[in-house]
Amino acid sequence: MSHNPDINDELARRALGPGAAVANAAAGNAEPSSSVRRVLLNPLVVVGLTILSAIGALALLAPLLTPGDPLSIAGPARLWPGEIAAFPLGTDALGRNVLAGVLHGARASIFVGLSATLLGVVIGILIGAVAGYFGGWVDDLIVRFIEIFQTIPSFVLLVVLVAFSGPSLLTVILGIALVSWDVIARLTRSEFRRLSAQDFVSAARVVGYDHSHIIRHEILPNAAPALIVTGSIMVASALLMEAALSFMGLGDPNLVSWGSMIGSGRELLRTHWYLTAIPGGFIVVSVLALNLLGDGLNDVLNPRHGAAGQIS
Amino acid sequence: MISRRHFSQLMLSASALPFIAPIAVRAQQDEPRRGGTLVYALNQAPPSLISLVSPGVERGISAKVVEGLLDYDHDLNPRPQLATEWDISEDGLTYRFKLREGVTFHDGTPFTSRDVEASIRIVSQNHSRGRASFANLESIETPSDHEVVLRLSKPAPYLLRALPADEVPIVPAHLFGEGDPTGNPALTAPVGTGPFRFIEYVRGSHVLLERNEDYWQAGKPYLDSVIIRFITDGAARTAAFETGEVHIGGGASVPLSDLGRLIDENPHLALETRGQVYDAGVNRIEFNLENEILANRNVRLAIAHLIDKDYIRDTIYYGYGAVIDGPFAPEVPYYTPGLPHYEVDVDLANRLLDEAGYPRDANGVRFQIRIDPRPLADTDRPTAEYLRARLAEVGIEATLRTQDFAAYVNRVFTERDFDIIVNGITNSFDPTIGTQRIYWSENLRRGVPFSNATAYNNPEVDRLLLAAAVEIDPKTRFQQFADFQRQVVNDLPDIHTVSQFRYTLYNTRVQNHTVGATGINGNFADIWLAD
Amino acid sequence: MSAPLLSVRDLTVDYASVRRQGRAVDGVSFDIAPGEAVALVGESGCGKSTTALALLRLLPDSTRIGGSIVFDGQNINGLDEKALRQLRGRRIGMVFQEPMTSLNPVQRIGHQIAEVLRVHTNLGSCARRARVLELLHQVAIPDPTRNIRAFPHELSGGQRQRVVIAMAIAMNPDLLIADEPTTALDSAIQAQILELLDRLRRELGMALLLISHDLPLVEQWSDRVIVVHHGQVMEELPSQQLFAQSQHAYTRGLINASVRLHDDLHYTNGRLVEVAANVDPSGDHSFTLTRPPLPASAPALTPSPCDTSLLSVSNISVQYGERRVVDDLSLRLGRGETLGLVGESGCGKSTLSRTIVGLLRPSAGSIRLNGQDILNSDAAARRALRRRVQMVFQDPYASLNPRHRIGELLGNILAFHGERDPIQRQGEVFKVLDQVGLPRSAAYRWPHEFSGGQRQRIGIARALILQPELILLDEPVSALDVSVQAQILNLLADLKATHGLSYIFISHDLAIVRYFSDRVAVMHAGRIVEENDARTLLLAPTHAQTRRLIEAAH
Repeated sequence: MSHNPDINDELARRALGPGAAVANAAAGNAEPSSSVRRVLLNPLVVVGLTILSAIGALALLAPLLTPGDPLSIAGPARLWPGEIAAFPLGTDALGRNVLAGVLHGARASIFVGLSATLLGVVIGILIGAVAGYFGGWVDDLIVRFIEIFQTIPSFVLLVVLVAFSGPSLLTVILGIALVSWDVIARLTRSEFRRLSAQDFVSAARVVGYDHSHIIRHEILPNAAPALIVTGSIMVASALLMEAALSFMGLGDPNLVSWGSMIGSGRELLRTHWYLTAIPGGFIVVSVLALNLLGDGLNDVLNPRHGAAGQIS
Repeated sequence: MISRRHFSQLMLSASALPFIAPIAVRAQQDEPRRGGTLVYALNQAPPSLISLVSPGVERGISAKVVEGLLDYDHDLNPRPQLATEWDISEDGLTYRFKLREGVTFHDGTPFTSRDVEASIRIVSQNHSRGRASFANLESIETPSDHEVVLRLSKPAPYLLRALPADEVPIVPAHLFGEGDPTGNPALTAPVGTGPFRFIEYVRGSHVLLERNEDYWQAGKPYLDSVIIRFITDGAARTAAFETGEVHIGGGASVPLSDLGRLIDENPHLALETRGQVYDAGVNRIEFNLENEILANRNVRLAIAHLIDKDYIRDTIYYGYGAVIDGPFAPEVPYYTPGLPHYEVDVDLANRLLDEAGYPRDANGVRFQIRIDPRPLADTDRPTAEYLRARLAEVGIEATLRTQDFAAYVNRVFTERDFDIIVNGITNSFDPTIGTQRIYWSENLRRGVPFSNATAYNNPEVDRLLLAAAVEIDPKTRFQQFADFQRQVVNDLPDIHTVSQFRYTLYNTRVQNHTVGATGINGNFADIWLAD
Repeated sequence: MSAPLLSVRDLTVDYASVRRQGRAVDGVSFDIAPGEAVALVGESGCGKSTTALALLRLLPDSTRIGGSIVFDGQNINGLDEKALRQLRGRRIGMVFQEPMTSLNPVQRIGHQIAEVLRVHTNLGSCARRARVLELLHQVAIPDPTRNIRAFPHELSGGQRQRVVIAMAIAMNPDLLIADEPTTALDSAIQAQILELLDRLRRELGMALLLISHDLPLVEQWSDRVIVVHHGQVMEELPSQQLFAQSQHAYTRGLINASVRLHDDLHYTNGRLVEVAANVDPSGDHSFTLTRPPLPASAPALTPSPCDTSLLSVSNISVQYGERRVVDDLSLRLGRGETLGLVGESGCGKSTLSRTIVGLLRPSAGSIRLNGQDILNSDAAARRALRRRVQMVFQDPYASLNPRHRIGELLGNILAFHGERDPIQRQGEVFKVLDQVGLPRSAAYRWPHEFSGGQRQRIGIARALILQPELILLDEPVSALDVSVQAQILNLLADLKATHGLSYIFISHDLAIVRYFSDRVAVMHAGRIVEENDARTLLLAPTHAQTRRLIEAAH
């Protein structure tokens, strides 16, 4: 026999579409303590995390592996990888060490990717939570507001924002956060709408919890898996946006990042392809790893795929 | 001075002034052949097609349709174009031109002295460089249909070199009557006396010109038509040259990084280095002398001793340039060799900074400074990056700021919110027109782009510049400019690095494209296509 | 007995997927003769649905099936996918519990039924349409020519189930498997659907395999009953003998745990029988039946609603947009009283209860607790009043936040209401766990680690921890198995006695309401249409709606 009251079936159906009937209040099956274990057992997550940890380790060790300013002119310009042992990945158009560039660039790229995503996620959650939880005219207003952001091509907006405020680490991070929060806001809103209708939220209201407590302690933890999955993909897109900005010369000029390396190497594409290929390869691998991680987390955490239909 | 192998081969016959060297002429055929369409690539689409009100990209198009009073050989000696004879009074105050008779505009109206008067009036009032060229102009007289007299208040020893078609285009007076010329439709659908008629302008794509059958020079032009294509992407231009889709290009046709490979790999492509006098310029690192630290000459001297100009030329300019020490490019007639040269000496730089009262702090930093490279050129940003790396070596912590062109001009010339800029300047056809504006103390004018940004103020330099501006004796004037150069290099309001090598990239089928000082900006009347 | 249509021998099903493992069906054997109605009855997890799915080979690939299933001479276990498709829909029809998910929400019902015909027959479109109309008529869908173009959401739940049945019988199957076909429906509609199935069975001469947890239901609507527990057949007997002559301890336990309308049992005079299953080391099940005693200290309660009124709801209306769901309704509840609230789904009883606990705000009227107006008092007073009214929800799975351990779930409530001392909180949590009969170790576990009945105990603990005076019980046992229902109802009765609680007990099950309530109110279309003490109301109903409810329950 079923333990689903009508309301949950209704919601499950809306979420899942026909045919996915019996899935029960899915998040309910996720065991918080063992979900960490299940996450770590997912092969996609393992591959993604391994690559990301390797890149993270290189970034952390950058000052030890390649001491000094990565922007300093270290040797003759445009050395091919391996041409001189001191520069295993060669030197760029000005004679800067490409190895130092990619290692220190990893720091900038990861920092921008993470902090822009974090900021975007925080903004998105705040706005989406208010819309999804309170509904009504607040929701209508916020949805319209989100739609404005969705209809503007985000990269164009980003370019305008950064060009207008002057490229620097801060403006790049703020800019990326400002053009990416809407995804999280939309997701948060729909998750909050879904979860607000659940009985445990009603129960929380009955025992007297206020809105802020309910949002933070009851709904958010249940919305977290979906947000984490999307967040991991957002890091990848933030990384790409930073690269694209730097490529266009709108990155922080005082910071070496993978994107800025590609940007300055692009002129030499025909003659010194490695200057774009090496940082480009790092971007491809990182983005791939983040997407693997996101897919893996999605498999494990996302209730829409994870829940088992119970058959009696 | 030139390091690049193939470039030095081109330079075999050159000695002191390598850039004015004649090019090795390939595939010279005896008889010009009529017919054919020339495809000519420009990097940007200009707002107007004739350089009547501004000296921008339109200079590459203007002269094909609209001619000037004079033309010039490679040594800047004037040759007749619409003016057949000219005469300057002893005191240098009266210029008398006899005009060519029997010339008609493309719309059929005859060319007369009133067209010249109207054109010079417009240029002297609207054209940014024209305002300087005609600053001393008192009146224009038209005693007859084919005679024009210019009367000056003070001598203008440069004026005769200021009259090529792409500087002072002669437009029909009836199309430019009253009213603001900047919005005149004839700017984008030009009517002139030139060898080619304007047919169409498809914005963002191309301009089509066809042979003027009634051209006053019988038998010319040889080409049936000219297509001017606007290709903004450097890689796309490179590809277009490689495939032969484009025959000739103006300005920096391809990225410097591609140039060597392109010439080496494609026997049908060649470089022409002459015909660049009007565009020659110098690249500079400018100091804001209103900055307390940079006002100290020892600081500037220390920075000068850090900069390896050979490195900049070889690495950033790929060898396509000449190291310079003063404000004039080698093509400029007043270029003076043997100016003081600051050798690279890091120890000396450190010592100078210590003496200037800026010791290193616990982190090894002496002071912080901001660098704003000009955003247009691909070379200025790397130069700024190089400069920052060099400054870091002596404990000066520099921050790069990048912005778009309008923001850069506003920040530097209006807000004056900068420490060091990496900049470039075109010398133009005469120092009084092209260089004086940078160093003359009275030209420290907020809001005027490419004026005296450094706030340099040396009365001796002012005196030399003002004297040279009206000096009609060439020898005296040469000496005045020599003294000026020496003084500027000594004062170090800026550091001159490299004069970039300018070139015309062309397909070897194209003959006779560079026949005078204006080079690719000339009227194309002599161009013909070989098989 | 003629040759059986379906013969199942030693059926075993083992799940081996990531999500579910272990043996679900453990050696089940039974036969179904042509035209016979057989019921598989048992509690959740007993393997009855798995058995039904195994018959049609609809289980996931990772499942291992043993034993034999012979349908009309063919061993289903040996058939390939193509042969199975011939069998499904054509010779064996199936009706699932939830009609909405069996239908495609974006296609008209006529199209969906016709699709079955298109797949299995060569009928032309006109003939198909004629057959669809005939089928709709057969399953008693009103106005078939119009409703053939209806979308599923335009039909009621009962009508949707009729459409599903129409699809299942479209090919005149020999066997119809109906898996809890009425569980999601109102009791009045349940009877109609079962009647329909029975009529169709006779008209079409097909056999029916009815799968249900509901003993009275299977007794009425099947010929033979097979009682299943833990994947094993406990007992098989003719339906008429189920209540009177069943021998098996498990079956007896289920029978005694369930309340029937004509039983003269009331919570004040006796508890329900609880059945406990024990597995001995050899793997055999043994069952013990116990009827807990009434608490010795139970105060003899004969509540008098008028003088000690705890709750008084006056003239409240609740609206969803334009629709008025509760309409000018008034009710009173005495201290220590249990008010049963019954009515069909959609009558507004859930909305009323949600309004009383403060989840919804009425558009008019007042709610007083101990004489104090809840709606118009200031925020602090309102909060103080609110904590004295708590609620237990229907679905024990959805009403517990899966992200909190039970200790947090309960302790946080105390912390939020100002209990700073964690030791004190822990003591309170342990106390309330003791009260609801859960081990203290439950505090360190997650909701999903508990069974449905245990979860409902947690839900009750949550309602108790603030020491309320009134608890709204919104269908608190309708999602639970019969044996568990008895335990929960006994617990609620004990808690009431020890804490002097008042209940508003909402249910669609009249038998339970009669057992558990002092007074019963019948709700219809947003109003209370009849109100009386439980026994009187059921014996002498005055309102048509009440009579309808009682009829459906018989």
